[in-house]
Amino acid sequence: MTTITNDQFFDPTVETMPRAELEKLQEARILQLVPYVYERSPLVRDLWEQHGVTPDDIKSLADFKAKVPFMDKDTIRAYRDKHNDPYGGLACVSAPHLRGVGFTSGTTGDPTPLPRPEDNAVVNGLKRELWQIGVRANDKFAYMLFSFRDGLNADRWMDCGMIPIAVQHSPLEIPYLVKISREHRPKALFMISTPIIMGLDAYQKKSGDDLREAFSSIQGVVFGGEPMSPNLRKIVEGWGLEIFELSSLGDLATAMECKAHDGMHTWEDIALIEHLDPNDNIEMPDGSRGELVVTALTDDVAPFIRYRTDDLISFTRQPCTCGRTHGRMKPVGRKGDEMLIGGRSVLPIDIFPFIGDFPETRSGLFQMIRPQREMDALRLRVGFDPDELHDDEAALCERISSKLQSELDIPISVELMSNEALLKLGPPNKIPRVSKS
Amino acid sequence: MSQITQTTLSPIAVGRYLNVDGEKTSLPFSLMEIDRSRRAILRVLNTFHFRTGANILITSLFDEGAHMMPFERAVMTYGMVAASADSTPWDAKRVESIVRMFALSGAAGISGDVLDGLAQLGFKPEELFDGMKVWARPDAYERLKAFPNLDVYRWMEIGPAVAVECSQGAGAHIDRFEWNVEEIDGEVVLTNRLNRCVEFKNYHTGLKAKVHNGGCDCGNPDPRIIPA
Repeated sequence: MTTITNDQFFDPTVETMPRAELEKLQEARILQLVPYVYERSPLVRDLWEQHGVTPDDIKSLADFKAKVPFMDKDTIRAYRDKHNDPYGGLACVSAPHLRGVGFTSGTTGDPTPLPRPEDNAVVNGLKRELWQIGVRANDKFAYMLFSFRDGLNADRWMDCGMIPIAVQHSPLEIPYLVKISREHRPKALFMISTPIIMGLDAYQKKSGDDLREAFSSIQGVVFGGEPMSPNLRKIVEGWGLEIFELSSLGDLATAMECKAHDGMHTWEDIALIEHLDPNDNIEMPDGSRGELVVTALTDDVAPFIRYRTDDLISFTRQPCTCGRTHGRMKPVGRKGDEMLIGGRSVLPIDIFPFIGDFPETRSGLFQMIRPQREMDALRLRVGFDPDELHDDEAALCERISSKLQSELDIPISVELMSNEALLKLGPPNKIPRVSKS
Repeated sequence: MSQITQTTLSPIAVGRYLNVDGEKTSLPFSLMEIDRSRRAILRVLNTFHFRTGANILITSLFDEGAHMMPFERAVMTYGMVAASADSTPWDAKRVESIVRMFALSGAAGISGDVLDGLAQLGFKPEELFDGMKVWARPDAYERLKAFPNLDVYRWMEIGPAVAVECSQGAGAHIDRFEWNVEEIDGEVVLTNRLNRCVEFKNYHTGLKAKVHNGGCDCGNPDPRIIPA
């Protein structure tokens, strides 16, 4: 009988693979992928022909990084519109191998289609994450994905034995979330967002229900979609929950913190990670800020190939103290969200630490108004709770402006909007942190 | 008297159903249940003679796996592509975008919320859904039926079960192997016939409807439900 001695990792072979072996695995997958996508993906063929690249030019991982042209959201959309191809030239197969199609959030124009195969790379990465939180076969976890738009994937957890309890990601569903937490005793809660935390906080205050007791079976809660404000963190920790932050890996997988809480693990067997100068093809030094560029290594339906995500990250390939060897990233923001205020770079992540410092703005809701990249002063729309207002709105504006100006050293004008009205500007999981108007 | 009993059958996931008061109640379900339901829905899809490679829009909510996953998997079994959007008002933009970008043969799970969201954005369902099969939830069915150009069918959750209308449009079929379906005082009452994670015996669904037994012109003998 086999005895499993290492219970720390779901997939110890891959999660702790030495860097040299990991790169060998990546190279093997890349060299399989290159002729495949060149033959089958109309966008790749079109793009590579424009740059004079053929599969014969790619004989190593180094060749791939040096020679293969980038794609980005605009490339895909342009191909889609020019060729009337809803898949933007990405699809390498058709039905029945192509099973379904999900979409990006589509906050700027038509959502980008994400054709999907039978397997699910996102869930494959998440199994490792929930395992390290403490979820094992036959354990349940509350499963609150932001949207159904990736299709129904509850059965994709079968091969690890974890049992998802699907809950709609909406503040309206909070009583049901609390109910199933007591009924099914989930080991993890995947995932919560700013509106859900605000909803839980309001539910607890209104009902007097003891959320620490209701959630006492939960060993970890995953927060994602945006950076977490310090005040929201305090609220969640008050329920006795350890928080694990999660981010997207260019829409082809996710990256999440482990118990070391020192960066989000980027699964480099699922995605080839490049960490480049945002305006060039130059690898940035380990630990510095750069743009995340991804290539899907396990997707044979519609893989992204050197996809520039527009996401700015700090990134390291130093092994984590948890024992995993894959890279770790810390999201900084989106390249397209950056503003230059009097020449100084400002991203939403610069605002998060300070915006919740007042009782009225504890929810941490705000929007940067960005009619153009460069402005003389930062316009900020800030959410507030009218019930907490202890002087008047003009005075609150002044307090917020003073605080932020002293912290960020840039001119700021603040306009207020009630939390309730601000939340209506977005879907149930978050509000847009940057708005044109 | 209704009886609901949790069994020892291993669930792969926990979905939910709406109880007789409309409240969400958790519903552990197994892969066997999903697959049996998929087969029953295939009997319905077969009546439409779709072509492999066709695209079907599915609007749903994330917690509807026990009910909608069999439909999604039946679409995939047929060799069709399932394009997904939330059945919420705020995802109506995505619904419109999918309709515009993909040559759709059908749209399933269309709800009153989807129609409200489309209306808020100024889109007309009689134009968007023209030329395709539309399976509408009860709160959208009559609204869409009012447009004579649309080809509208029923998609219904009935407690833990699901019923889908065939090409004849003469009631939504419910799996006769899975459920014993009775009409008692004008209410649909269900009893499961096969092993399930949660057993429902003489379960009064609260749905007022006619239950038609016997053959349908589509050739599928599964009982048909027509809401009162």
